[in-house]
Amino acid sequence: MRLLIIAIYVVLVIVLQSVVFARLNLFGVSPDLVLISVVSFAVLQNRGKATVFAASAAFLQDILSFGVYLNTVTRVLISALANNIKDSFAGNEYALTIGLVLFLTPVVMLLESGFYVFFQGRQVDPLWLLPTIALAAFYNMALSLFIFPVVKMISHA
Amino acid sequence: MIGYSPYRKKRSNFLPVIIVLLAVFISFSAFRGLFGVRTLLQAALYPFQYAALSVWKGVTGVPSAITSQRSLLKENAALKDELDELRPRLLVTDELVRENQRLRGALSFMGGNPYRFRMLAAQVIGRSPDPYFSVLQIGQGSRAGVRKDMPVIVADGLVGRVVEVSRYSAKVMLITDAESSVAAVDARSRDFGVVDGSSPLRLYMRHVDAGGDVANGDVVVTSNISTIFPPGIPIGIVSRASKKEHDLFYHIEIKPSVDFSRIEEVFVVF
Repeated sequence: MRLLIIAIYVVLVIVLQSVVFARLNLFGVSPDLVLISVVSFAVLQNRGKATVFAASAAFLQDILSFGVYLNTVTRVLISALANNIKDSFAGNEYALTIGLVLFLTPVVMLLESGFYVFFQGRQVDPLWLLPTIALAAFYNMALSLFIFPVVKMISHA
Repeated sequence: MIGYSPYRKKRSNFLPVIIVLLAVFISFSAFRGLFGVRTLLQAALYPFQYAALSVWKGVTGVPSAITSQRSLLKENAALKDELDELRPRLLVTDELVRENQRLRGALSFMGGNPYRFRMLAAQVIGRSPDPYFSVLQIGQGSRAGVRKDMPVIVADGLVGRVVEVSRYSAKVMLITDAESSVAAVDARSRDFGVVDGSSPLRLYMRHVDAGGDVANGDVVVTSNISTIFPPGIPIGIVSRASKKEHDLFYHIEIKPSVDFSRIEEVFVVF
């Protein structure tokens, strides 16, 4: 039953991300519902479940995107990193998630831009990238305040 | 609350590593499409996206539906004034179009009129969440005859081209994407160049000979040498054109004629 709820949540997140949140952009920056969910899940669940969640959600995100399966790579890495950090942490998991989202959003975006610059020869304008990263980090952090309780509810359903 | 434990069990990173390696391998392999699974999943997600879009439009449409009648009347009057102003211009344009058609006929450009293309209207279903890819997902696919590399336009100008097609939907790479290149000309001076994407707000026109004549405010349109895009479709307006003394090419920035953040319907050109 819990598996079904989580599967429905994954589809819902992907659909909301591509249809609704893509339209809720602020200066061209959209919140990343998948990243927030992946970090929340990594904080709340064990490594195996968190990795499977991250891989399936990011894979669907890549299906709706174009090009390489980069979301799958970055989200799985982020999930593992968040899980490792959780293992050396004692305290409030809500605060940990919010802090991780704030810290890991720039990490993901820098990883992705690095990939595009070094492997695909794309030009990424730093004047565009840096404000985008800052805005995305705060946007994601604000949204994680609402997403974390939802993920907590479904992961313990 | 996560409790303190000095002797936590060391967990294996085997599964994440395997998944990452698999994703990297697939990304750079010839079967990136996963033998049709990609298009199949895309088609499976389409009904959910369509339903979400309908709900979203219903929700966001409510405020506009209750807009006061007074503002609608005001808008109507303004549009009538605008129409009265445009009607004489339209007559001149019609005459120019007829003249153009006659000249083209005389030059034996049979069927060469770029504006006779067949178009298919499509709703924008989704957008790529990835800020590095400027990709739209549209609600028409191979079932409606959409094929890869078909141009996509709106009334304001060029949007992009189809890059991936599934049965009920397709992905459109916007001209602002860093991988996009469009053969273009300055509509006034006819200087040729290539318009490359960079960020959602800017385009660059490259390889324009420094001996040419490009000025701020010039309209840039698609060139007739393009094998994908029909000629004459507006791309944008030159917002900055400069060249230094020893430069071989102009440095040209273009403001796109289409506001890509607000596109809701597009036309696929057949």
